[in-house]
Amino acid sequence: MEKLVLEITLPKIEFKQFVKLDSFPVKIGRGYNNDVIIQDEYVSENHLELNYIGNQIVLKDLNSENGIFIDKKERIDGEALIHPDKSVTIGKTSIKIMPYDHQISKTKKLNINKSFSGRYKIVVVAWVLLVLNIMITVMINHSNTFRDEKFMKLFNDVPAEVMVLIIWAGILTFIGKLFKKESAFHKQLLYICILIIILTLFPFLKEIILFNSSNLFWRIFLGYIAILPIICYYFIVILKDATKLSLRKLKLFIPIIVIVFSTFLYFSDYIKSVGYNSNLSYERTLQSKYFKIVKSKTIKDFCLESEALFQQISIDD
Amino acid sequence: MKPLLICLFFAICLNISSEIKTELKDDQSKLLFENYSSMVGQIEVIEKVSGKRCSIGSGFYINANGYIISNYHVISDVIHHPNKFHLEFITHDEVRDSLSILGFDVINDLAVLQNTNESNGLLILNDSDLKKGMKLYSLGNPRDLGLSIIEGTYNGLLEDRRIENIFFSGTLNPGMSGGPTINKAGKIVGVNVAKSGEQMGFLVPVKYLQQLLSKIDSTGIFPVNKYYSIIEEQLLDYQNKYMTMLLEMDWEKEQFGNSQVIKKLSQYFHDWGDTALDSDALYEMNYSGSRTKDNIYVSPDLHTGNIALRFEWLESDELSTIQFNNLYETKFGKYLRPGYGKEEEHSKFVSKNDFVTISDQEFKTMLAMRQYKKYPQLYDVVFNAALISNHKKGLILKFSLSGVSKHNGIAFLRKFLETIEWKN
Repeated sequence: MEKLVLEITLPKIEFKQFVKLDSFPVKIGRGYNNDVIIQDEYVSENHLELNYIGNQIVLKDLNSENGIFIDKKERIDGEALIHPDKSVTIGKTSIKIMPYDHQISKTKKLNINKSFSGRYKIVVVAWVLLVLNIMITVMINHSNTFRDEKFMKLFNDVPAEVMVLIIWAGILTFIGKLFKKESAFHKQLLYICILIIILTLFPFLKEIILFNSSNLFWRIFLGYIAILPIICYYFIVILKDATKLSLRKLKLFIPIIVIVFSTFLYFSDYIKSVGYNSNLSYERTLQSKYFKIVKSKTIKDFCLESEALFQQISIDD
Repeated sequence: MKPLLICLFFAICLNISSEIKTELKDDQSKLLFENYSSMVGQIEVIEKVSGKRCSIGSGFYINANGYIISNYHVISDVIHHPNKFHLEFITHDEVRDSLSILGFDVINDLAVLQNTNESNGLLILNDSDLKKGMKLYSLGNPRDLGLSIIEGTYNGLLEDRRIENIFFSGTLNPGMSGGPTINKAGKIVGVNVAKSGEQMGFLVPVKYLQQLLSKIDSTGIFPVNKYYSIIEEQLLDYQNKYMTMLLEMDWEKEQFGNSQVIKKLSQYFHDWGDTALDSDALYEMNYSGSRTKDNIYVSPDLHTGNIALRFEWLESDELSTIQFNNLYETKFGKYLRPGYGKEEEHSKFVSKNDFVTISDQEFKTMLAMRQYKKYPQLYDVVFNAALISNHKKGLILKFSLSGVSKHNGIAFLRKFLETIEWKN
C-alpha cells in the first residue's frame, strides 16, 4: 500500500493539519467515533469514509447534511473515486489526500544572514523613507497653504506631528500586509519605521529635554542624548548582522558610537551657527517655551546681566 | 484735417505764450544766476589709480580763504579711503583744482573743503528770519549737465525728524547735493542735501554750517588720521542727546490687546499699525509700531541712527495649541533690522535668551547686539520678547536701536520693559 497522508485545512486557521493514513477504511466526521475528527460545525457527525481499493481511493458519503464536493464544484452522490491531489470540501473544511513524500519539503532556512545586496537594499529603503518623512513633516509644518487655509480647517485640532504619525501608521500597516510572511527584511523595515517615528517625535523630545541653557554645547549635547540610545540600538543590530560578533563584544562599541555621534551632531549644529548673523537666528526660537526650568528674571536683574553681553562681542574675525 | 490743423496751431500758440510768461517771471532767477553762478562749482571724487571720477556733487565758495562748502555724503569716499580717492573742484569757468578737507559734520551732512584758487565773489550766510512761502533759489550741477538754478519756496523746517532740514518745494536733482540755496537777496539759506519725490527738496539750515565753521576756527583742521574717531565722537554726541531726551520723557501708552504698550515716542517717530484679519484667517493678528525717519549717512556701506518699535498681538480660538505656537514662533523669529549696513561694518551679533517677568507676566526674550567695527563705542541693539504665560494669546514686543552707546542701549531696554503693562 502506498503511504498516504491526509491534509486538512480548517476554516479560519491558516496552518494545515496532517494525518497519516495507515489503515483503511478511515471514517471522517465531527463525532468522536471517527478516525479523523474535524471541528467544523458544517461537517456532519459521520460525514464520509475513505477506502483503499486496488491502489485507488474510494470516497463514500455517509448521508451527510452538506455533502461532499470535489474542487468545490462536483457534488458526490454515494461513492466516488478520488484522485490524490484533488481538494475535497466537506462543510467549510477542505481535505486532500497526498502521497507521503509529496508533502515533505525542505525546512526553510531563516534568512538572517542576508547577502550584501539585501543589506544595501534596506539602507536605500531606509533613506527613501527618511526623506519621505522629512518631506511630509516639512509639508505639513511649513507650507503656508496648509498652515493658513483649508488644510488647517480640515484638521483643525490635529497637530502636524500627529498627522505624520497617522501617515506612518498607514505605511506600517501597508508594509505589514505586503510582507505577510515573516522575513528579516520585513523586520528591519519595521525597525526603521519605528526609528523614523521616534525621529519625528524628536522635536518634541528635544523640547522636553532642552532647558534654557545659554551654553550652546550643553544645549545641543543634551538635545541629542535623547536620540542616542535609539541610534546605538540600531547600529548594534546592523553591526551584529554584519560582523557576527557576540552582543557582549558589541556593547563595547556603544561609547564609540556615542562619542562619534555627539561630535558629529555638535559640529553640524556648530557649523550652522558660525555664519554671519546665524547666532542671532539660532536664538530666535521659542523652543523652550513649555518646559522651562530656569526661573524668570526681574527686569532689573535682566538688564544688569545684559550688560555682560557686550563683553562677548569681538570685532576681530 | 482742417480742424486738426487749427487745433495744432492754437496749441502751439498757447505753448509759446506760456513760455513768454515764465521767462518774465524768471527774471529774478536770471539775475541771481548771473550774479552767483561764478561762486558755485562741481565737486568730483576721483579714483587715484585710474584717474576716473566715481561720484559728483556741487560746492560753493564761502570765504576768501578758498573755503568751499558741500555735503558730507558727497565726499565720504575720500574720508573713508583717503589713499584711494581725492577731490577736485571745477569752477564755473571750467578751471580744475584739487581740494582738501578741513572738517565735516556727519549728522547734518556738511563738509568744509579748501581750494587754493581765490573766488571772484563770496556767498554770505543768511541771518534774517525765513517765512513760509518765501522764494528760494537752488544752485547746483544736476546730473553733470552744467550749472543750473531751480526756483522753489521755503516751507519751514521738517518736523518729522530729529535732524533739522528745511523743506524746499523745488526739484533737487542728483548732482545738486552740496550746492547752495539762496534767497532773493542772494544770501545762503541752506545747503542742498536730499530730495524725496517730486518737488520735495531738503536743505541743511545754515546755522549748522555756522557751527561747523566756528568749530574749525577753534579746533583747527580735522586731522586725516583721526577721521574715524571724529565721526564716532559726532555720532556718540548725537545719540547721547537724543537718547537722553527719550529716556527723560514720559512714554505715552496705548491699549493693545490685553496690554498697554508704548505709543509713538515723540514727533520724530512715525507710527503704523494694522489688523490682519480676513474672514478666512484662523487667527487674528494686530500690530502697531513706530520708526524714526532719521537716517545718518556714514558711508555708502553704513547708515545709522534709526530707532524702531513694534508690538504684535496674536489671538486664535480656532488653532490648536501646537499650530498656534508654530505660528507664534515664526512671528517671534522676525526681528527689526537696525539701520543699514554691510556685513563687514559690524561685528557678529552676540545674543542670549532669557525668561523675564514683565508686569507679572512671563516673557521669553532674545537680546542681541553688535558693535561697529570702525566706531567701537557704538552698538546696534535688537530685542524681541514673547509672552509665554498665556495660552492661545500672544504678545510680541520688539525694538531695535542703531548706533547707540552701551549705556543708552541698556537704559532704553530697561525703560522699554518697565513701561509695558499687562491688564486682564
